[in-house]
Amino acid sequence: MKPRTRLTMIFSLAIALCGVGCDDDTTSPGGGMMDMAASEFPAAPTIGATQLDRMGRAGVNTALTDPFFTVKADHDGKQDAYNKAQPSTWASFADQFAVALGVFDGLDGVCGNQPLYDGGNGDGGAASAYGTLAGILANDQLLLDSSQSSCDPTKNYLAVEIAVITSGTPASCGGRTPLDPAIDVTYAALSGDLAGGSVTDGVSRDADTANQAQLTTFPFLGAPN
Amino acid sequence: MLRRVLALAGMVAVCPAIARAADHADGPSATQSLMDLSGDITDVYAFTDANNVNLILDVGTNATATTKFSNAVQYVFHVNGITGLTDAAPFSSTVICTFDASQKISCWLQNGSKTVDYVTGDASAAAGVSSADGKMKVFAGPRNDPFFFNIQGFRKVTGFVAQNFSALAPTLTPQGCPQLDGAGSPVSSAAVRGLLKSQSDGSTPGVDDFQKNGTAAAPLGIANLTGNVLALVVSVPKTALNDNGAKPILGVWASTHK
Repeated sequence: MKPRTRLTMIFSLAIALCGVGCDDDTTSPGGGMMDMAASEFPAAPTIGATQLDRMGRAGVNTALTDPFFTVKADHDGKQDAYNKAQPSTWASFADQFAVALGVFDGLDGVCGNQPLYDGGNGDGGAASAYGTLAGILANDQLLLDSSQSSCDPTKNYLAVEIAVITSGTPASCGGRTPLDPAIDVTYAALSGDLAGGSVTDGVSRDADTANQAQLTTFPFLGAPN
Repeated sequence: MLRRVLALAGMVAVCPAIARAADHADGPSATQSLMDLSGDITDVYAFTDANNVNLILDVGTNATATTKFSNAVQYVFHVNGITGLTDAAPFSSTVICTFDASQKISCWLQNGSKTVDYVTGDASAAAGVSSADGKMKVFAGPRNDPFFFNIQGFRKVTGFVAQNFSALAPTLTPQGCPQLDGAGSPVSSAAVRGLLKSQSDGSTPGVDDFQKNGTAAAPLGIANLTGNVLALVVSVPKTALNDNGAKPILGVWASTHK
């Protein structure tokens, strides 16, 4: 794929994802296969105004919100702000993510090989160089291709995003299963070690093997300890 | 600029980094209190089978057999269907779930603001409870926390960076990347990667700190984790979320509310 085409796709991804997130603040017209008379059901509650927590991808708030903090109160405040944020403001977290992405880029011993890194962009600082990936991650949603029928349960995490970034074919359906090594995939992506294996925490599966998650039988997660 | 910020940061008193993950106990407002982690999201999963999208929202680090979902918290999945990466007009759906004091669950599936399916009942048995038309199924109760992460290694790395800002600052590229294998670096990249795979005491290999008796929540004052969470599991036909296949790419996130 030509670089220009790839870049167009990347920006389209960022724009589309922002559109997805930003639109979630408001209601949109209903419809769909399960269209039934609304009167069949009790009225749905209005979602409470106080958002306690939110999450899309694994560990975004942990890894990218001020991870190298020196003042705990400041760190707590930033994590709270992230958790409380509505989709229309998610993009505002990209600049602080970019600073953390710069540090993680060096984990494999090579600076500048993180996906979407552009050292010549803008003023050449962190927000410019790491801003494109930071913007994608700030739109914190799992991306899942529901049209695919065959999914490798350990290769879903970030599959849709990485396929777009690398102009490749998705390794699987995207989203996240309980069996996906989400942390190692994150380390690989942030360090630029996309081939994997070099930057890892050494833990590749849930240690509670007796009650391990399985994906064949509802409710998918193992019995409690 | 970044060099200056990091250098200044290095001059202030440095405390050990207390990282939390994957989303377990991130931010004091989410945790509410150590006695009530029922609104604190630990993980979100979304995957498909032949016909359904399966959504999992885990909350409540260190859950026991008697831990309950809060009857004052709403548990919400947000799903945005798009045709492709340039579609800026998503097909937006939510699954809103609430509990009463007896743990009877009620879940509404909405396309936009229109309720299209509804489940209520005791969802604590493994078989779950289904909607009247049988299309939506829900489970809610304690399960084994499937998340795995050597968070001790992550803490070692973030702690090292936090405590060595001044020494690392001269190695930074203008974009803020530490050139760990360059001249003057206080540590090699291999050594930092070694920290990532280690335990707090430096021993290797690292361990899954979220397993039973794990140490992931030690900074919260919780020793010897149960290794359990409260799991909310919802299965919904793909077609209900992807507009009958017209919007196949799904963006999924979850939130808790009061």
